[in-house]
Amino acid sequence: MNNLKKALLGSVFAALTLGAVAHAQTIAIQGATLVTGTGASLPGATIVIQNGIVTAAGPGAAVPAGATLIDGTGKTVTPGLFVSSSDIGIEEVSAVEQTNDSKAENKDFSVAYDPSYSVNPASSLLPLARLGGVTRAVIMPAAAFGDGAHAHEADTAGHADEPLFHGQPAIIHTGAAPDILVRSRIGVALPLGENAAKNAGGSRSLSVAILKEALEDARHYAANKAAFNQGGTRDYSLSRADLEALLPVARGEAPLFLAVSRAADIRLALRLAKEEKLRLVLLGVEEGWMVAGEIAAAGVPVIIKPTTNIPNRFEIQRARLENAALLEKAGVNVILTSTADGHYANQVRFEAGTAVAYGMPRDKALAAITSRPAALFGVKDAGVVAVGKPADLVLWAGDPLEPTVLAEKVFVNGAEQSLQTRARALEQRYLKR
Amino acid sequence: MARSRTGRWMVAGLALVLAGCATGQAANQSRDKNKGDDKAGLAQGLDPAANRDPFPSRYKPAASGLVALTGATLFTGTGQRIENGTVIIRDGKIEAVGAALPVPAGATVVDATGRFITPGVIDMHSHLGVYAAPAVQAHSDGNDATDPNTAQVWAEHSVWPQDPGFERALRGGVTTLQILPGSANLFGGRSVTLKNVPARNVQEMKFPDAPYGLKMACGENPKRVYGSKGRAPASRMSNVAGYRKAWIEAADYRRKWDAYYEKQKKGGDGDKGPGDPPKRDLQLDTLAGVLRGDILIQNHCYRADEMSVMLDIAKEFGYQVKAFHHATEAYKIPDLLKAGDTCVATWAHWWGFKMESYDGVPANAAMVHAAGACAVIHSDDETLIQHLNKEAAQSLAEGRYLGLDIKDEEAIAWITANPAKAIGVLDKTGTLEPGKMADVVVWNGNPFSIYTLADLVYIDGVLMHDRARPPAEPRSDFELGQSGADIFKAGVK
Repeated sequence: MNNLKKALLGSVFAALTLGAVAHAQTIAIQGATLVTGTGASLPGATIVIQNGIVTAAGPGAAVPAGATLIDGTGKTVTPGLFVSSSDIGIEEVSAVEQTNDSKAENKDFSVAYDPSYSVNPASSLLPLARLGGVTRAVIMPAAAFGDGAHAHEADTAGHADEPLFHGQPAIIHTGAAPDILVRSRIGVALPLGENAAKNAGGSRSLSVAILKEALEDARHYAANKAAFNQGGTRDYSLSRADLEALLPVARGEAPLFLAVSRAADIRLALRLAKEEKLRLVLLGVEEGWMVAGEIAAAGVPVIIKPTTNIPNRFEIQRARLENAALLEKAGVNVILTSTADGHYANQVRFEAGTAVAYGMPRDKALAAITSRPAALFGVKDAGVVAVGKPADLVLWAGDPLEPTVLAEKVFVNGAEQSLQTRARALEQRYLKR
Repeated sequence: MARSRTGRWMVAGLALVLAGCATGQAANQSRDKNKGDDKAGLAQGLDPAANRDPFPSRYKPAASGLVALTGATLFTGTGQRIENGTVIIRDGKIEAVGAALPVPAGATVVDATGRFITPGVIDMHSHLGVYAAPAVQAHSDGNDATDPNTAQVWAEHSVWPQDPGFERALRGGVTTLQILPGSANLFGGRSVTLKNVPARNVQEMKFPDAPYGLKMACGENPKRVYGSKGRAPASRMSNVAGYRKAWIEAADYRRKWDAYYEKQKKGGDGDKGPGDPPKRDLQLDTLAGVLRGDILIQNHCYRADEMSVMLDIAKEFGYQVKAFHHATEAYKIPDLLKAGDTCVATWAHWWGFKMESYDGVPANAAMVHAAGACAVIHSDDETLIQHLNKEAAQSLAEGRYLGLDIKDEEAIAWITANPAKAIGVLDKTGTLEPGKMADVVVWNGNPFSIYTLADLVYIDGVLMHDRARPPAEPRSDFELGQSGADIFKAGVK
């Protein structure tokens, strides 16, 4: 083993804990490029973090005496990244059922399914995501983006007993802490496409009928709760728990996260939202580029995985790598995410990089994995680097979208995090042999 | 350079390809036999040695002419980096590679200043064509999960050349692919190596004179698939018993045919001729082909302990494991892999999808490489195949973090020369060296950058992809003539 390797390993082994590292009182990163998250990219910036709070962020900022100085030359500081549709935190080994809470299938608790109760802050997936710069994740109980690995081995098709509604998304952070839940029940997830049609009885039209009936039932239930509890209402298509969960969506207070793919289905979703007065967020949207103007005009945000370009289903026949760029160009609020499988949350920056390679402006792509999801999901303390906010940011050795560049420091909620992962522990063990 | 995609591929004569693949001696004997005594003669389909290539390649590239790519940074695939490099292509072959070479008269010059040139990308683990898009049940042709030993099936008989994934892979720089059967079975069947060219049938894609592979699978898949049916194998130990049983039968089969050919050669046993020939068995043909060294073992296997057992089985029966696929724990046993001259085809970022992949690490390929063994980045996926250079970059980055000094020009071998070696075509492609097929990619930047795209992709010197001049029509019949975005344009009533 050469000396360099020994030295590196020594320093790595010194901090084997997977938890948060106690932070120095004051840290100043000097001379870095600062990506604020809101579209600006400022070279030669100084970022000062005092007791976990960002106290300066920009070119020419003063450095307080006694600060620990970090040379940021050639490096980049970005806000912590978001992965906006994932099952990270509720699964460990996908095919080992006992460790995977992401496959909920219960017809009596479909809308009411709340994955936040299953969150495991000790999951080995979280430190890996963190090392990939991800500090926030939306646990999205709608399989809009496939499993991301071994699709031909897994049973990824719709299950016969799968409920139409998939439950209520939750937001977590990836810091080392006993409670990483940021917010639960932020809306309701619902697929509307080939698989949903199968589960609805064999037609998209039945999916629509079921959705409309459910919304009508929720509204009727809300107006007749007392009667319901006396057994004095008509039968509803959903259980009481599901009706309760659907109410904020039916009232237009919480968003409906609708997974749609085909251009015609996207238009249908926009029409339904109008008819039913719903707040809509679209997931998947593989053929969105074909109806980008209409999506933009409706002011509906989209959460997309930009590398999807294989016509694996008829409903994504026209999926293409330029989808993100074309939606952006049309003025759509584009948010980029990775595959649904939480093992690959760390790939979100490469998804964004690929979107750039295929025409999305780089600052927009960065916003699409930071400030835009933060705004959409109402997360105030992340997604931007700004004075007065807790440090929720990443220092990268170079361009954060490049696979040859790694994170050097990650702060979540003001706390610097260990960058040790189970994978690195394994690598280091076998390098020593 | 903008040329029509149609009409560029001609169909070669059958005879051209037959010669290289039939095993000479035995084939001649049985042909001789057919001429004379028809009583003892064996129809071609009944004699395993009569024609070992019954579905021969009919791929023949169009004329490439003389092309000079100049001014680029070359990653040759042999570990070399050449600045201001020139690549000369003549008649489908690489003629010369070097710094600022003189351009031959009459050459079509492509100024690649500021760009990077590498050998064509090779994916040695693909299911394109056998799990074609759209992924409907009707296209699910990659796994014959009906018996733990289906060594008799050949992936090429499932390949649908209209899979839209081929064209997308081409845009990612992929010029050669090994298409494998799935991993449900201990022995999944023969692989086929293809050139990434438009074709009407698999024969028009087949890489001329590429050896066959045999897909084997360790671990969870076979025991899950068959255990759940209440039959063997239902455990890893039963997997191993299954492999050994098959090799014993294959050795027996091979010995019987060899004895028959030996008798035939000696002119038979008096008046009786060579005697009653053994019955041909397609499953045992393939397994015996491995024992003969003609067919390369391509072994799906995740865990270090299982790979170690597989290497010992190979020793026990006298064959080589040419490559482990997936091999997420290869980094634990690089010494054994190096000793066995066994390549490792893996990912950088896939892990945790099942128990046996739980120890997957991003530095796997980098650590295998640094230990002196043969590392390959593969896809096993119709999306990842388009981004293999960027997948390799992830392993490279993690390796460097660990202190492994690996240069870009070394790592490019993970998706070019090393997979060529692992599928037995390194003498023909996989590097930028004189005499090799001109399978070449011109990238618009360093191939390990996320922003880099393949500008030009040459296969046998023929420009198959030109990013600046996209084809007017999709390559796949499936995508041809479908309605586009036009009908959704505003204003259309």
